[in-house]
Amino acid sequence: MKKKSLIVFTAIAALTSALLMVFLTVQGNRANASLNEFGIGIFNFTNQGATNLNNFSRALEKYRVAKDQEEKAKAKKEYLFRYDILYSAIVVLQQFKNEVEVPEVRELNRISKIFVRGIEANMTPEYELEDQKVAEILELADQIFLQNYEVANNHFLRHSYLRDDVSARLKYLNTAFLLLGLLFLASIISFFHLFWRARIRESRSNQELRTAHGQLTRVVEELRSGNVERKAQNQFIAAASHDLRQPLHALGLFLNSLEKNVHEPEGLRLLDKIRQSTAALNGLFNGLLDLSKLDAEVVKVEKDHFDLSVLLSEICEEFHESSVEHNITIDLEVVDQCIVFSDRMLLTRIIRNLVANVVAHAPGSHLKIDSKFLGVGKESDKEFIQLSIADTGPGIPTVEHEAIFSEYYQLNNPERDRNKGLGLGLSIVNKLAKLLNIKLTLNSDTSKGTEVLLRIEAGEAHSAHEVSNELEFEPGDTGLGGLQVVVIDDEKDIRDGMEITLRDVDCDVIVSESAEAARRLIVKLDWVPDLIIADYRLRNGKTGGDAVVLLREELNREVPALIITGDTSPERVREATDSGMKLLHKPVVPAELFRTIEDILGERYVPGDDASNAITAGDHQS
Amino acid sequence: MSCLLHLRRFAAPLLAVALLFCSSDSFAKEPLPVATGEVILTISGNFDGFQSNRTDGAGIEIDHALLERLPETEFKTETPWTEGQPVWTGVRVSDLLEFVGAKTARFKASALDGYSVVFEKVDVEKYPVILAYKKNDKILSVRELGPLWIMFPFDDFPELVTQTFAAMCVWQVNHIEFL
Repeated sequence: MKKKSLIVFTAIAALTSALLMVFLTVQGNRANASLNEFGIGIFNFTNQGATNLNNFSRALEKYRVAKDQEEKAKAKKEYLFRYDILYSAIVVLQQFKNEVEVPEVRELNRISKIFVRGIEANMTPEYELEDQKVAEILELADQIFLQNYEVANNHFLRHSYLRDDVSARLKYLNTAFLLLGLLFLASIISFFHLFWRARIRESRSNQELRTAHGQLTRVVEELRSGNVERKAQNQFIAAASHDLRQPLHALGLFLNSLEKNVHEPEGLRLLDKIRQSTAALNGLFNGLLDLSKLDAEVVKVEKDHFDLSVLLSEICEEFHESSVEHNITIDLEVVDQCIVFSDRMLLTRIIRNLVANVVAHAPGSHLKIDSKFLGVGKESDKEFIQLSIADTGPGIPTVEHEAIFSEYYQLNNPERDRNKGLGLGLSIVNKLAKLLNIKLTLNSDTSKGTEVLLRIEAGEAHSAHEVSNELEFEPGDTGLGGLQVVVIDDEKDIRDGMEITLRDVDCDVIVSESAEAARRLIVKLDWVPDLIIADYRLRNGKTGGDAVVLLREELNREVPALIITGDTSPERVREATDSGMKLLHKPVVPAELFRTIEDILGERYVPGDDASNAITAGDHQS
Repeated sequence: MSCLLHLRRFAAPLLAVALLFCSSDSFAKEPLPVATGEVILTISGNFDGFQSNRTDGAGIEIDHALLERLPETEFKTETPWTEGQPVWTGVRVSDLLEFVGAKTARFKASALDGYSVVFEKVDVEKYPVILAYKKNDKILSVRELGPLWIMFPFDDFPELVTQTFAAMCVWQVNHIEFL
């Protein structure tokens, strides 16, 4: 049914119900009036009146026929008593106000009054009634009796009519009630139908409103949090860096080989510049990679007890040249044997980033690095060492304190000079500090410079062991001569670069664009490789891991393998890590490549060489 | 509310009388003193408060003096048969039933003119229905629909103003029979 017709129907039903109710009320009132007219008192009165008159007449008759005085006296007492009762009934008749208006009742009332007035004087104990008088009184009583009968008679006729009237009205009432009930039911049904429809519509629009509101809130929240921008940036950078890493990787490989073929001083100078630019580019990519690794939560923390002062000396030495260049004086006031318990590599990364920041952003300032031993504090039962890295540079305005730890955020670099980095340094520092449970505090304002406090868990001196500085790689030092290596990469530049690089250290190299091709070549040449180097992402959705598995099956032996990947997105990093093989991230500089190969082969072929180290390594992983 | 006040006022004497008449079985079985005044009410049927005080042993006879020994209850009410709002004085019907030791739940009140109504005991216990012997502190004569008139407190209980209760107002009551 249409909504409009439903409303009209409801309205009509309600109106008709109202009219019916008025009709019912009128009928009910009329019926009630008829019932009141019914004169139930008169009915009773005529009934009793007849009895009373009869009793009185009989008493009089008894008096008339009484034989002796005693009997007469007794009868007299009786008729006087009956007269009193009759009298009281006649008095009561006066009270029937409505009924007295009816002609026959009025007549009854009239003759009753005449009767009482006529005989009242005779109705005393003293008065002796003569027979004549008794006959007169009986005559009058008969008249009243007849009139009484007349009243009863007419009453019957009159109220037969009234009864029919009432009954007819009750029939009306019945029908009307039935109709009213049906209409009422119909009204209720249509009303609820309308109500229900309205509710459905309301809830539907509410639902839509809520959904819209929820979406809007999410969008607003995302926009406000900057996640959208950051997410997009991350995705873009991860994608872009993968594509850029390939040529950069190749560039590094070629550069290394080029060095041998350049002899002119000008050429060597330019080569050095190219090397520096490449190194800067590598640094940027590594920053991105670090961030991705941290976001992917694949960075393993390997804590150890070690001397912080040694580490700091190394870092200061590392930055010596650039600090002189930027006119920065470094003041290292860390006591010897300042043992901390942390991850050496990651902590180095933190401190290096912080010092690099000072060098980059606070030229001409004074850098002071010192440490303080903090005993057992209230919040923890551990002992801590507080490392302070303070400069007298321009400082960071208080409002920026939070922002400088976010990604791609840089102070005073509106032109986004990429020589100053991408703005990932402090973000990485912050994430690494969290990972290592190092509490990082920033005290800085524009008047006094910047101080970064790192609260590092203190270590135990006897557990610390010196780690010698990593040996600088020198070509020719490698023991890789004669090693048979298969390189699988789907990019020709990389294959060529790898081939040149590995041949430089006298490796025997086979390059191939896919695992299948490599397999065919190996079979054809009947050549057993000592190492497989595969790109992680190969053609047709294959991975380096798949390639290694395939070759290992073909050769039926566990050939050592190295996977090189250019992916920096957290998901890819995790996938590659999960493959369980040794992993390197592009761009890989030759020195790193050779060192890793040595590591793999060392683990592989001389397992018993340093048993204690192997056990320590196992402990770290657990 | 007047009737309720009166009820409270008469609560103590009622208890006393109840004790006086009903506390011991031996006394309860005593015959009532023979009515010395005019007998205005006879009681018959199933009751065990008293032995008959009539020569023929059929029920008991009560005169005005005896009725006045029972606790008095009074209220004001209009009726269709009287002028104004008279004060009605009399014995609560439930008190009378207790006094005579009624054994049945129903009783029939009959009048001089032959009219009679059968009452349920609960009807007279629920409301302070009285067997009135005085109107406006004056003894009711036969001409004034006395000597006893069963009266309901219509003014205090509007729900009583119906034809049914009007018909139960038996006037000129002279006999009660326990059915």
